[in-house]
Amino acid sequence: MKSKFYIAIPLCVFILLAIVLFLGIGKNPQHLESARIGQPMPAFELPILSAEQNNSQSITAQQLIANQNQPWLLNVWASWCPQCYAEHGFISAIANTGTRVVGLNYKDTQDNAHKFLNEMGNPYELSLFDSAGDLGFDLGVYGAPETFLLDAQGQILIRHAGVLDRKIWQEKFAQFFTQPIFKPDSAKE
Amino acid sequence: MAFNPEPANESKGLIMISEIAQIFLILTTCLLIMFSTLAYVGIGMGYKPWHNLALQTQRPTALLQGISIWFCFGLLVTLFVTNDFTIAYVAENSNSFLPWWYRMSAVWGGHEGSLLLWAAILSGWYFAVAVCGEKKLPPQLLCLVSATLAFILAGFLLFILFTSNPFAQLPMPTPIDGQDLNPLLQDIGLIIHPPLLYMGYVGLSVAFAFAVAGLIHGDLGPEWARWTRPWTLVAWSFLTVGIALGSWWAYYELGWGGWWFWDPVENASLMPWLAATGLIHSLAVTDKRGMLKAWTLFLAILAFSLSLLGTFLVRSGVLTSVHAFANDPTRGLFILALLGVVIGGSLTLFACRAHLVESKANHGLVSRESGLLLNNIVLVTATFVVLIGTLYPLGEDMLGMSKSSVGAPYFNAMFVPLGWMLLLLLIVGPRARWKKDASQRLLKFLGQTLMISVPLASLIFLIIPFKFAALISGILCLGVLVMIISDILEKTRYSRNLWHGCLQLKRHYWGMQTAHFGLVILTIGITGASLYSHEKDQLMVIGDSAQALGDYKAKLNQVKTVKGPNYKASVGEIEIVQANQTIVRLFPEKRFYATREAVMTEAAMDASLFGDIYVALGEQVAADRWAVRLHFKSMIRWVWGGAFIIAFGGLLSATDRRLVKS
Repeated sequence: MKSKFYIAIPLCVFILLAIVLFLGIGKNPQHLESARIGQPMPAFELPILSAEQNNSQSITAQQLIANQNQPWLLNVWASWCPQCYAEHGFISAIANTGTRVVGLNYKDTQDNAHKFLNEMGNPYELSLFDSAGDLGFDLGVYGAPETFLLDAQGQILIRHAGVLDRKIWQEKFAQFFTQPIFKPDSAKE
Repeated sequence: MAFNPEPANESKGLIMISEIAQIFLILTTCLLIMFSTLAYVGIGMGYKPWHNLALQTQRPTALLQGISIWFCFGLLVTLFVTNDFTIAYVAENSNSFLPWWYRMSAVWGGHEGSLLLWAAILSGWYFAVAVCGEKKLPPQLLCLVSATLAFILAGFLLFILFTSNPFAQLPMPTPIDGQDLNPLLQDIGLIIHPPLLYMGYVGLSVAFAFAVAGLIHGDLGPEWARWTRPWTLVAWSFLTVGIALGSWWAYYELGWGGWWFWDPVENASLMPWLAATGLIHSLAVTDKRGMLKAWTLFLAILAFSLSLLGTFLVRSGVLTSVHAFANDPTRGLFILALLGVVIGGSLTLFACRAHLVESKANHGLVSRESGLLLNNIVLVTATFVVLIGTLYPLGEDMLGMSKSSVGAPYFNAMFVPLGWMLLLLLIVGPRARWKKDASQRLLKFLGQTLMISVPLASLIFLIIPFKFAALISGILCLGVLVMIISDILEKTRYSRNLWHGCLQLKRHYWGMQTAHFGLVILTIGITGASLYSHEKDQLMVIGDSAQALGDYKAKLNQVKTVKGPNYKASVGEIEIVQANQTIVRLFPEKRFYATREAVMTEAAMDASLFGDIYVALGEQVAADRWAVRLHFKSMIRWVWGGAFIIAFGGLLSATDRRLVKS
């Protein structure tokens, strides 16, 4: 019997792949850490999503973080993302409590983004229109939806990849608010 | 939704439908585990007392599991049709206002139900193999094939029972009505696309089971490849149609104007397709010449492993994608464990036993065998190109680099040359003789083919603008057509006449030529759609002069307000003009549904053989000004047409008398 080492190559490749995938489960997408945590919002200048096609009103990072006195959310969304439809109700619930929610419309088209807001309602104070994904890239965005919590000075406190819900809110986000924004067991999603 | 956490199950005296289904699933799982253990130990490891028992239980197990799983699937359909919102999965994916056909398709609209569909289709393939194989296959081999299918099915049933139970009940009080099915999924394309795709995905398990059984048996007789071929061909044809339907759905429903996005979920279906395409070609060599046995076994394992990997990628949330549904890490861990056992186990078996089936290379350097081997190398390379591109973000994350996604540019840069290579091989490969051929003969044939195809391809540019990539594709496509015609003429040259000769040719041969012809059509479609499409977002003024769109001009004549049954719509009239002749008037709509406060854009399309004109109404900017999206998608219909021809060729081959009767 001749020894034929090459028939064991597929097995070795698979074992390597399985290790990569195993590590991937722990890491993605819920536990992704961003190198940006604890750092200020990256500088940008982006158009504000608006109804009109050729509107070029834009906003910079400094303008966005000015005059805040409590933590606020930056929610990455897109009309192409089914989970954003699922998450929308909870995001609206947060916005209804008076917490500031800014949208980052990620790799989307103006038409589709509008359709989304028209259909679902608009919980955002404003949405940044990041069609090329530039700010998303600077923030280390992996996909949509993702939510960042920023403090009043515009420093990133938390990054959550995936759908945000009550449970995750209580575990990760609630601690940063001096007054609970949801009263225990009374608020509806 | 706030529910009272008190469980109130004791109030019911009757056994619920969902409980019956779960009992059946558990019993079937036990049956399958017992049978596969019996068969592996009794036949695979040669434990005498269990040998006959395994042979005797093979048939009853196959029949029982088939009936039981399909019964459970039927129960889930019943729960959906009867709007039983005590079941969490039904309440999440359906509501009573949904028409009944969407309630049926909502069965596989979410994670739990699509897994049950996966299991039901696997169960169907298992049943079919057991019934069809009974007279043809040696009982031991059939028993091992069945055991492998039973083992995989049991794994999936455990996965369903432990992490994704579609029959789980909601605590009392249950909601009066369910949530809606995702509106994007309320579409005819989504009713038929997943079952067909799964038929293909799961069907590859049969080739896999044959490979595992062959390895355990240690002897691949001359018939092994012939038995495996029809199953592989049928599964591959379904996979082809499933992928094509998915692409068509993305084109008309998502409204992004594209037909392939290199999205992880699309890649998950493309990888097994590429590997299976390699497999059907290497099976031909193994069947005809008894060679490449180890390689064929490897491809059979690879193809099914990739469909399992695809399921893992889609369901575990390792990669986020356009299609990703709710993710859950425990599910990912379970699938990975299943993946480890099935793929790891089969590859270990391969590593230990593949040397037993090694066959001596017995062909010249220039021969049909070499051609098919080259085809396999190109296809496997393409498979790994997709695999690397899909997993790249994951690996990059692990190495601590910044996230960037590998997009269409990478895939296009790799696939264009690979596709050209494949077509070039296709011009000469099928003309090469088995065993040994003379390189001069083939080079002469290649020269003659190019003498015809180069001038013909150049003539096309009298009509359309010159593009280098289009020239190459054109030459290669025409070359393949010349090869097909000349091969048919050569094969029929001794017959009374052409018609008589054609009737003499085997169905398997026609299947091959049809599929290759389909590849030509597909290539023409891809080339046209990628190189000759135009699109622009245009601000249009009512009654203003026409805007150019490629060869066409578009004019916005008027925008009317129309009242529909439950909506109000602005309907635009866009006139498409070519050379001062009106070709078509399109009526894109923007609908406002008052009850749901929803705006829907209904695009209008003019589909034709050489391209689609696609217009959509955007925002109204001023009283007489509208933003309009204008697309011209060149040759787009050929993409799906080609895919359907390819699949038809596969089915034609699979039903060849030699493969079916033996």
